[in-house]
Formats: sequence, structure tokens, C-alpha cells
Amino acid sequence: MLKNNSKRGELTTQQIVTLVILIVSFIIILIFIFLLDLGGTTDAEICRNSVVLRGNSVVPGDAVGLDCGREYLCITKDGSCEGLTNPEVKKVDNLEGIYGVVAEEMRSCWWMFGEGKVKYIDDAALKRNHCSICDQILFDDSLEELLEGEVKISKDALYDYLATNNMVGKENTYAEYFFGTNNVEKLKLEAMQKTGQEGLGTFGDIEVGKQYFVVMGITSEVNNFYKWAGGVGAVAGVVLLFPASVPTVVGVLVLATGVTAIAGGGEYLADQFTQEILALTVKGDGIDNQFMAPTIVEAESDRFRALNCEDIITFS
Amino acid sequence: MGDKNKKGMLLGEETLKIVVALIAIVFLVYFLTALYFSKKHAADFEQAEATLERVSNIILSGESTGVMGINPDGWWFFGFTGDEKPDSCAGISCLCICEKIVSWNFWESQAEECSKNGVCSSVPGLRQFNPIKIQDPDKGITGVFIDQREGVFLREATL
Repeated sequence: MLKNNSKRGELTTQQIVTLVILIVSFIIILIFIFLLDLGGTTDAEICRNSVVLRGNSVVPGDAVGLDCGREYLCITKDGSCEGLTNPEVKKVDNLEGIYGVVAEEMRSCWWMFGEGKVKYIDDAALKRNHCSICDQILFDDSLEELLEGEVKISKDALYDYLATNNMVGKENTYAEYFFGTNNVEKLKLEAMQKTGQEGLGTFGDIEVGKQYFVVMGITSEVNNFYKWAGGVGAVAGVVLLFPASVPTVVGVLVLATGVTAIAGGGEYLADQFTQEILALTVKGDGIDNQFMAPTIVEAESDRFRALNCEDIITFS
Repeated sequence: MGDKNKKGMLLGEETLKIVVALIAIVFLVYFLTALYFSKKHAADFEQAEATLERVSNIILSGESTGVMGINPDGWWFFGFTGDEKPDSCAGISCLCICEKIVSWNFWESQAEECSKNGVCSSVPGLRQFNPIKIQDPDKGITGVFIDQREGVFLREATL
């Protein structure tokens, strides 16, 4: 009897082996989950779901919270990222790689917030611009090696990239997805004509070593794109460019900058007054709201403040 | 000989069972502790957000004044003006409310702790100040005085 009781409590070799296999399997599954970064995809999907839920909700929008946070990225050549404590590191080997990372983040941002098809902000008595900072990107100093000593990355070239490269796994370009056209030059030209300027406008530059926001937005009231441009003294008017296509570019946010305001702007003539295009606004697809298409602006800068965001709906 | 065998069995099997049981107990204790602190942190985080909003509004107004009755107790005000800053500061000097890391924490900096678990707000013109601890209300009401005569400077104000 005593012998039987003792046997009941014993762990057999088979049990021990099973236990070890279970523990090892669990650890392997955990490693795979971390390596595949399934959490990253989940965050984007959680955000999009909360946006869609709020858009389709019958109760006032504020009752349904948005669950969208800011991602921290570092684009680097050598893997060093001194300006951020714990960013997601994106190593690149050439300029195309930089544009590719930024373009994908802009696409992700536009997708998360409903691609201009979801009204996730209630109409209000006061017109307000609700911005979403999807990403904070540090352009690491090591990128200078890729730029052959230059410290600036042309945003005009970035928009050209958007117009000439298809989205990953899709047959349309990033520019078509955001603006409904690939003709970026025409966008710039007409934007400048509306502001009374001659020649092409510019989207400006990205300075290596600084941090930038990938930001998009929605205006809470119909036909309220004037408000977007209201934050700066010298602003562009409305540019009605593509009345038939969807998404339709309907506005442009321009910051008037003198040469002195742009440090090291060797490409600008000394007496030239430059209009920098900060963002383009598009008409909603099937809804009256105007949207600011994804753009990239320097973090906490005058240019960011010029977007006139009265509310940041993403948490940091 | 038989006795010796029995002792060996006891040592091997019983030890293994004790080790497995200990692992299970440690995991359970860790899980419950993490659950408790997660809930507590969420409540503290909301209080910290509200406090920082009050302080930020005063800073925006440009007024030099005190803010009393601030929460959550045990958290600290930190000013980051040097090279290393929490991520949400975007490279600008900023004010944060977060928990202080322990002195033997060599693998994480204060900026990282504030970045992950604190609330921060960019404050251009912030001057470096000594960290200010938010006291338990039972030990006296803690407040901060915001001095904006030359930049933005914070110091403790206790009733």
C-alpha cells in the first residue's frame, strides 16, 4: 500500500520529457512572436478598427475612443540612433531605401485613419483641425554617408518617389492612393499659381539629424479647408485641381518662408521668397469632410504649428 | 544498498517536484503582482496627465505661479534639457512626470523610463531643475512653483 502511494507521486521519465518539451515549445513560440513583430501589425489594425468603429457609431464620436498611438522610428545607415531611446530601427543602404520607409509609413497612416472614407470626428460648432501623428521619425546622422556629405533630403524627390513607385503588393502608386494622381509637378504648379507665385513650388527638405512627424488630419466641418491654412500669415488659397477624380486634391497648405528662415538653403536665391508646400488636402470619399493627406514635417517646428492642428488625437 | 537507492530517488524526484512547484508559485506571484501594478499604474498615469496639463497651461500663459495639490504621489517631475530626452519630446527640452528609476538600475536611463511609462510635454526654454517628488498627501501637500522670469524653471513649493 505504501509502495503504491509512493509510485503515484513519482514523476516518470515520460512525464519529465513531456514537461520539458512543453516548456521549450512555449519558449520557441514566444521567440517567434517577438521576431515576427506581430504586435506591430496588431497596433495598426487596432487603430484602424477603432477609427472605423467610431465612424460607424450611432452614439456621439467622443463616446467611442480612438486607440491610435505614435510609432517611433529611426532611419539609419549604421544602426546607431542617438536621438531616441527605444525606436524601431530601419536600416537603409541608399536614398531609395529612405524614401521607401517614409512612403510606407505615410501609406500606413492613411490606411489606419480610413483613407479619407471614414468620418471619425463629429461636426462641431467651431471648425477644428484634428491631426494624427502616426510616426515620429529620426533621420540619423549616419545617413550623411549615403548623401555624400549632404545634410538634406529633398521632399520633392520623395513626392516623385510616391508618384513613380507602386505600393508594396499593389498596382497603384502611393501618390494615386493619397492624391488621386501621379502628376505631382502639376500639383505643385497649380498650388503656386493659386498663391500668386510663378514657377514650381517646393515641398522643402528633410534635414538629417532631426526628428519628423508623419501626420495626417481631418477637419471637423464641411468645406473647412481654409482653416487648415489659417495658421500662418502668408497662406495659399484653395486649389481645385481634380474635380472628377477620387480622392480629389482640393487644397494646399503652404508656409511662406524667406530665405533666412531656411538654414543653409543654398539652392534658393538670396532675394527669393519661397512658398513651401507643407501638405495637400483632399476631399473625403463619400463624405463631406476634408482630409489632410499624409505629410512629413519637422517635429515641434513652426512648420508643424503652421498646420494649425488644434487637436492631436493620437497618444504619444 | 536499498536504503541508498531510496535516498537517491527522493533527492532526484522530490527536488524536481519542488523546483517545478516553486517555478509555478513564482510565476503566479509575478503575474498577480504585475496585474496589480498595471492597474495602479493606469490610475497614476491618468493623474499624471491631468497634472501635466495643469502645469502646461500655466507655462503657456507665461505666468509665474504655484500649482498645489498635485498627483500622483511617489512620482517625480523631471526636466530634460540635455542630449538624452524621452522620445515624445522630439528633441526639444521637455517636462515629464514619471517614476524615478532605482539607483542600481544600470540598464535603463531616467529618460527611457519617462519615455515608456511617463507623461511628457515639450517646453521650449525650460531650464534644468532638480527633480521634484510628489509627496503622499498625508505627509503634506506638494506643489510646484513655476518661475518664468528667465526661461521656465520649476521648484518645489510645500505648504
